[in-house]
Amino acid sequence: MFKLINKITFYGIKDLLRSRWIIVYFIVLCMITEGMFRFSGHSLKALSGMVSVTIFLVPLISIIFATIYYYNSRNFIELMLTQPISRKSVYIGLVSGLSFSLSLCFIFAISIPVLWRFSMLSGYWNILFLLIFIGVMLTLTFICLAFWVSISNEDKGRGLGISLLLWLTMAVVYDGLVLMVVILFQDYPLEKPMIVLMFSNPIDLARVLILLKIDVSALLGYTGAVFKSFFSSNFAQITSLLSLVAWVLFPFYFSMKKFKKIDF
Amino acid sequence: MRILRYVLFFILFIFLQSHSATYEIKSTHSKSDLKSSIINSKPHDTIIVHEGIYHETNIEVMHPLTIRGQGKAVIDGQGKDQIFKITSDSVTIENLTINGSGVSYIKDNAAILVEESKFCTVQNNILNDNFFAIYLSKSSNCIVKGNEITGNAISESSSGNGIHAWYCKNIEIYDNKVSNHRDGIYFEFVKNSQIKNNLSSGNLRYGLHFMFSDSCTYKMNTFKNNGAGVAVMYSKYVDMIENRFILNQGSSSYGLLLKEISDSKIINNSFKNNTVAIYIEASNRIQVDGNDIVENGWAMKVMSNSLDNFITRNNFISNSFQISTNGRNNNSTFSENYWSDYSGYDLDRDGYGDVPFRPVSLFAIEVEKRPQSIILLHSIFVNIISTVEKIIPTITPETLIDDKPAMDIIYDNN
Amino acid sequence: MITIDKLQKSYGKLQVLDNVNTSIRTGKVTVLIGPNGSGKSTLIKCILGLVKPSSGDIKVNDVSVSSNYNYRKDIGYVPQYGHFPENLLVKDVFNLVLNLRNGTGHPSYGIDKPFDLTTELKKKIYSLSGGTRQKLSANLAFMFNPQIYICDEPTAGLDPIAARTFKQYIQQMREEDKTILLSSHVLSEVEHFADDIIFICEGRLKYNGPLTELKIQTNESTLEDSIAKLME
Repeated sequence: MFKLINKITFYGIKDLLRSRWIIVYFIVLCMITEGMFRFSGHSLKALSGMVSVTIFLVPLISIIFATIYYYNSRNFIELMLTQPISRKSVYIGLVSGLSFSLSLCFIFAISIPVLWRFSMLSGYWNILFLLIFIGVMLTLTFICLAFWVSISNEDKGRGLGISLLLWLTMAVVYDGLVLMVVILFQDYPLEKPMIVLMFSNPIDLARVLILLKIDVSALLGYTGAVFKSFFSSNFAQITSLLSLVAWVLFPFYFSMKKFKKIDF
Repeated sequence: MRILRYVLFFILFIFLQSHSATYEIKSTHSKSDLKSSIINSKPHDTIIVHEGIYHETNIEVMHPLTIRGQGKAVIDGQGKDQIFKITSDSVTIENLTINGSGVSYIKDNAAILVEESKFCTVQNNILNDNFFAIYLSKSSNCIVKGNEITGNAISESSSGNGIHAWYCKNIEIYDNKVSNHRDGIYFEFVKNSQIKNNLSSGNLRYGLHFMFSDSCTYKMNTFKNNGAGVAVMYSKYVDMIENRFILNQGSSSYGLLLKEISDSKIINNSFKNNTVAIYIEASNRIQVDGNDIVENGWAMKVMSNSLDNFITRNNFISNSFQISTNGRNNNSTFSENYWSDYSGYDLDRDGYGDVPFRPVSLFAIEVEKRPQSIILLHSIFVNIISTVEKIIPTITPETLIDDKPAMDIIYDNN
Repeated sequence: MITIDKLQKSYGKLQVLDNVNTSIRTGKVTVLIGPNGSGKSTLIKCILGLVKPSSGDIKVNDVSVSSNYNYRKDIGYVPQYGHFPENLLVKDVFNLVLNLRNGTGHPSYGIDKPFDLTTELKKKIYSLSGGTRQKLSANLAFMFNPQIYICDEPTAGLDPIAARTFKQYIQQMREEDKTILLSSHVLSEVEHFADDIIFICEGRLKYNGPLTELKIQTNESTLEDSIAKLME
């Protein structure tokens, strides 16, 4: 089974890495990173700018790209499914092919501008690695979410619409609602519900994970005990790291279940 | 003229040498040797304390004297009482290791207490686990230099300060290292004094606690990882120059806290990784110039009861929030600073942006009102509303702007 | 040998296949016919495991298709339109399918049969014409020399000469005693080599048996006329 998955993954990557849109994604991301480092004049400033770009762009590109990829591959998926292999293998192969391609694209786009600024990053390597980690995790999560949407919707236009709406909700609307909750219930103890809300959205979770590194000075200024112990503990970092991984595994698993059931 | 002065000094030196005796104290001698030697000595004598451990407390020095350690001479108070009490002018204590002045809730027990004296020197001592380490009271023209002071403070109420000066004048404190006390260096009612090139770190409360002390300068010190940073309060004419404020993090922690300060200067300091780099409250006519304020939670919190402060030519780089304030009034001037999140342009190429910069973000005000919203920092939603607010300001203080934001990092600082 | 037993498939309220019972004989060409939306494709997809039946069972060589996917090693499938990853080379597609089949087959076998694709091997898929893509799907189905061929409107995208080659190849396979299931719209085209006819309409089986018998039953001389008569 692993051999089969490897093969599907391998040819998936071979196909995708030659895709025009992947190359465009790579170049754009690379140029943004280069620009950030060139014009910000300060590594942490550049990295923090890259965090904003990553949190905004990576989920958006991943979900759109994966949705379109799925619909465009439907016929070929059917062809693969008529071969003597399980649906699970085909699914894992597809997801991992796409995941590898988009992740590699992200990793290289971020790393190449960094390579010729080796000395500039001393002291900030851990943030760079964390940035790459959350970028890859968000890529994987949104690929799986895209598959979940596309597998559930036969129609391409509808699927793409739902994917975009899902992204908009998770990336922008959600935080707006959270802020509204903060304003409406400002007299209540909100720290625990807030932490739960942050864990319930992979984009927020990724952002908080970076906050714990970059903005810990500001976070430690907060007086509430729950945040305080949360922000200053290793436990928080480990839990958020694991939760981000969980945010890959759950959509992956649920869309696989869906993929096994549906009719083509 | 200068040569003449040297010659005079030399003659004086020879003269003093010939008239003063040197006493040598060894640990094999009986316990009260040190005390009796002090009593028996003549003014300006020297007592050399040889390597060894001496269990002594309440050693009073009542006439001019030099007490010098040789090798590792340890005076151990074993956690009881005070150790040296100096009530005479011109006493020097050097090269000693003094441990364990006793914790007391009634008396300020110190390893070295200088009381109502002039021209005393405390230098190159190692002071461990004392309640107060060096305590200057109503003294003047004293020097505290090159001491390594390490306390064992656990709670604020059961610990004293590293270097404590009270009602003093013309004091010089330099090249000391102070850690693990309540306040690293404490100044109250001190005038015309200098604190230079010290390292104050890991103290429970303030690295430097500075009150009612006018016309003092502190320069080139490092204040690192102290509970609440550095507090400068109720003073005038204070010069704060080329210090480093690092890693003072916590809910009421500041790189530098200014309260009711006037006519003072904060020049060429560097602030890094503090929760609030500079907090200014009820302070007037302060010049904040040429500082590097990097990677802090808040670069500055300027309360609106502060007037006529000038914040110029500083580098504000990668702080989570640049400026925060508590009202829509602003009576301070910001100009020619570099702001790392400034995104304006410089068409006339004079090195300054053509569009003013608003360093107070909408979100900074939101966090001021509802601190728990800080968890949304850097989220896309917050970035969007902050950008909108920057274009059409409705909530942020209208007059708090840098009219001449620098396009590039200002490099001529320290 | 494929046996279909009480096959039902519905999407919500829409009944696509309703109690279909039939079998497809070894060594014969069975042609599946029916109007658009009659359930032909669904039936084929059920056999291939692409569509899960609501109830009933399909057995391929006495193995139920719902039990596992191994039965598909005996099936070569030619879809109506061939779609492949756009940026792969023709060669890559051959290799991929070969790998999916665990290498059991003759890669060289596929490249020139039924269509000669040796000159196309190093071309990217997106540069191929629809016809060539269709030829590629045919070759992929045939390259493992399977026992059963299932072809969904195989000649729809082919030019007349290629269609002729394809049909000749089907004939040859019949002579080799393979089981062949074809769906087609163009009745005249399949008439001369069809052994059995499965005719479905609105999800129900209308006729299932040898072509000759159909003609006798309906008393018509051509397949087209017979079907027309059945539809009345």
